[in-house]
Amino acid sequence: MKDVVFGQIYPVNSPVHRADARAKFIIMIVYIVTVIFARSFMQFAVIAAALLTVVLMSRVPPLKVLSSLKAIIVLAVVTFVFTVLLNKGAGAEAEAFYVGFGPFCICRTGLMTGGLVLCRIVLLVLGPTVVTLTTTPVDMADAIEFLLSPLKLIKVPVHAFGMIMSIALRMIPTLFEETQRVMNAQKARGACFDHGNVFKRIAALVPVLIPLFISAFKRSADLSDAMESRCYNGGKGKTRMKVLRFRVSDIAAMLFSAALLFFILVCVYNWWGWSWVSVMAMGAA
Amino acid sequence: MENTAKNNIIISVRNATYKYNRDTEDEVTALRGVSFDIAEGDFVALVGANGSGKSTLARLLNALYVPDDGSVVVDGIDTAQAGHDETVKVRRTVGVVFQNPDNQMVASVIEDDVAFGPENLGLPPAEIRERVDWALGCVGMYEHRKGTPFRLSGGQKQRIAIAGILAMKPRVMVLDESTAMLDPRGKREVMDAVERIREEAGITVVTITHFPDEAARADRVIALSDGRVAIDENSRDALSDVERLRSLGLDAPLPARIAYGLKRRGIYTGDVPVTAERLAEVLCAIK
Repeated sequence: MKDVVFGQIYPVNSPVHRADARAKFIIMIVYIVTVIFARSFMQFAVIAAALLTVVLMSRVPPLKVLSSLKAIIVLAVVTFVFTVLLNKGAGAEAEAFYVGFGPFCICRTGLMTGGLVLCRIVLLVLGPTVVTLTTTPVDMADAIEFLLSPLKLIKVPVHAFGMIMSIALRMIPTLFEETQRVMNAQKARGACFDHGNVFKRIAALVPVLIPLFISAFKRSADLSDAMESRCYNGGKGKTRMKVLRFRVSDIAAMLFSAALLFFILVCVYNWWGWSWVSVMAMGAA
Repeated sequence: MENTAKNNIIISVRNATYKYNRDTEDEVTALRGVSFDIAEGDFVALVGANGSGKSTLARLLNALYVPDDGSVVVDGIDTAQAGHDETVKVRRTVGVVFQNPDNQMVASVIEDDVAFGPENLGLPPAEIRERVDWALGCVGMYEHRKGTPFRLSGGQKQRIAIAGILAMKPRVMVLDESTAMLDPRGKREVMDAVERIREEAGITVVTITHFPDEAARADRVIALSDGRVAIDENSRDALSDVERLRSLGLDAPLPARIAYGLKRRGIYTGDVPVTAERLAEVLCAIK
């Protein structure tokens, strides 16, 4: 059980893997905002193209990225079906295509809106998936700690959060091993974890959880002793061996994501009345 | 207070007592008046049966606990009176490696874990990097620095824990049963690394153990029994007295027990050897 891959990083060496985790997080947030603002198939196509470029650069097989959609398939289908059925568009007369039955109807506007919602959900899931597939959990914890650091101003213990995340990540394999050991010990004494109904199985886990909890508390007491004796005092005056520094490529990528967001906003609002924007509005509901 | 300049005494324990759950009905007295000095450069083994107070003593030396009575003075600082900055100084002087390597690692990357101590000291990044590389080199784990500790053997993990302490450049390293959970190979790995560090970095080592063979590597043995110092002698004298050790609930090293058995049967009459090499010489000399 030592080979548990926690998190879901796909370990290859690529520019995307090497990029600063903080930059990836910021880009992810900008990306999410962009996807939420976009409102035509054309605009989604532009975003998808940008995402595909990143996926190809990351050398993660595109199918691996797509497989993350399995988790939201029910949500996506249900959302699509209801959006289509409940959207009446401009009414039976004005719609080019309208099939009504009872309180429901299938119409052109409804289908378009449903399609757009579907695109939005899919893109919202794929973007963050690329980040988790290319970033180690440790880097992610560091990045989250960095991004939360403005909260220090309002006395949020950001350093403590970071430390908790890092120790939790560090302890996952250890506790996994321990669980396995306790389960084996219980099996050796006749415990049964894979028979009976759900309730019986859950009941069988209680004798595993109790020793696990006790040992986790003992470990945490030991760990706090060890940390204290290594002069840990809550992160006051702590320095870092690895100074996080944005590289030119990180900044370029962030600027690019900002540019994409700006582009989509121009397409949606067309502040300057440019005519080409109508091309980008193609496929809007 | 002991004069620290004299004999370069770095740790001075005077009449230290310590009770767990003080003033409750579960009160347990772990130490009942322990006194000894440790000079810089010493290699001391602290032995004792289970419950004799050895691990409590390790925590006293590092100011994790302060004595209820008596005093522990580390490099001139009385731990009971130390403020925050002085406590940090005590912990910079005395580093403790604990028993379970899994329970003293804070990071999932080896070099990050070793960097934890120096980072807490607020050192500049370049110096931390230098210390981490040096410490990992000392314990022979430099090639593994980018890896995770999970795939390593117990001995390797414990060597990383040692590197974590070493990176803080302590003057005294206390090993609190640091080999107890390791297999024989791991034990040897760790003790070899400790001896190498002692020679190269000139660090004072206090090893707490219940393995007599490990104690035989030290120059001096302090045996605790029921919260008191029962023996404080050079290791040869302390470990060759098989009867006395047995009365304290301790085993003598195997070579000493063999020689002692031969002596009782009248086959051998000289000194009782403590190490395997000496035993071999003794056995060869028997006609």
